Amino acid sequence: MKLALEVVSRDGNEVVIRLVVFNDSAKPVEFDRRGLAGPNGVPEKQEAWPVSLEPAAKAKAQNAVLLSAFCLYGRERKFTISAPTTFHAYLVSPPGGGLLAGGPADSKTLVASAAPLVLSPE
Amino acid sequence: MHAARTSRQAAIPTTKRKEPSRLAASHVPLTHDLLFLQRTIGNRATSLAIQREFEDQGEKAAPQPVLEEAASGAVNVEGVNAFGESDGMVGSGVAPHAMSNKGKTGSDLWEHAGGAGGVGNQSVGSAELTAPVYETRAATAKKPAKAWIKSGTGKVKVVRSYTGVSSGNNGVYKHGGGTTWVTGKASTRIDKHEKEHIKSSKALHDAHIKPVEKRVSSYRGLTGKNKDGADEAAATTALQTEIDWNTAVNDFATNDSAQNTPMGPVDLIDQAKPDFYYNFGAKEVKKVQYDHFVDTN
Repeated sequence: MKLALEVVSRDGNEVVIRLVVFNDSAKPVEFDRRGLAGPNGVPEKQEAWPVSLEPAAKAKAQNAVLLSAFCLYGRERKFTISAPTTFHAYLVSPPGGGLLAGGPADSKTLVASAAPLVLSPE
Repeated sequence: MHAARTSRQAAIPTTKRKEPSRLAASHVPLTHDLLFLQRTIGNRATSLAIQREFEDQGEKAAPQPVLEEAASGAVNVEGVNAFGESDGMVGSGVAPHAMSNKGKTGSDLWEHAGGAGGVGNQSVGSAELTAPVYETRAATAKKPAKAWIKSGTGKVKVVRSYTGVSSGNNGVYKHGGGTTWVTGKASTRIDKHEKEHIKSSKALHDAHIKPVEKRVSSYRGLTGKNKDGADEAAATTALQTEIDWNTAVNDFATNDSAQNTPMGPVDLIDQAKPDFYYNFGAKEVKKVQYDHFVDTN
């Protein structure tokens, strides 16, 4: 599995960022949507913005995402940047535990992470 | 989560305080009735008279204040007394010896939605200081010079409190627009986080401020000890060395700033806990769609 952060659109300092989970293997993979964190903005010399997750499904089983071979799953968020900001995203398993902007508190739970995306204000 | 808890310091204007009453020190006969002094000049005069009698054991030499009462300023604003010792704004003049934890003072919209909630009400490292004022008595043929600390000086007041976050609709999300909903659980968790900052400041207060206050207390005023020296300057220097005021207040300010600054250890340790709050993105609450649903896991 690969994670990537990409800028979908930008209007001045308003940017739309998409976190993409890509199954780059020939076999189906499954993960828990509750373990996918990001995009998480960390402005330079400022407090990190709250970590982005998505609401859990009412039925636990519905939190499982099955990605067929070479298929995508993703999440999109809009941000306003006023300082150079680094965006992070990662997937942990099992879900939960402490989730910091740049990665999980327990590195053993890390499954995959996206290359950080650095954006500067105009 | 922090706001005032940044490294920026409110510039507190320094205020020159008036010189200790030399009138009280040098023109009040020791034989005066203390109640008369209290009525006509005030407690300070009484205290000086009592002190002199106590110190001199019958000798009539008047105590000589060796410096003016110090100017005021906050820890990092750098008001200093004549000895270069950090001094700060004086409030009521009755500084507590324990850190004052005023807890949650109210609630506001979340700081991430443009409010002042989830924020410490004081700057990190801040404290109100009343630097020690050293008083001395000259050496005599039989006794060395003595130095002590004037009553009411040598105090540090550390106050910490925070503003909580109102649960419910918190308005527009600051980092990207859209509406924000903060759950009751998230609001409670934000309070818990702010309490962690206060707990950290209290631990640092106890480690750095309490000991210096204890040292000062033992040399303060009427009932305190004296430091001896060959002359007044030597006695004062010896007392200053023992008190070590600047080291204590600077260590507190430096460590409090380092620990409680945004993304400092207190933030990072707390954020790493599984019960921290997160932005769960878009979600419907009570049939209204919000763009940022803030809740705990």
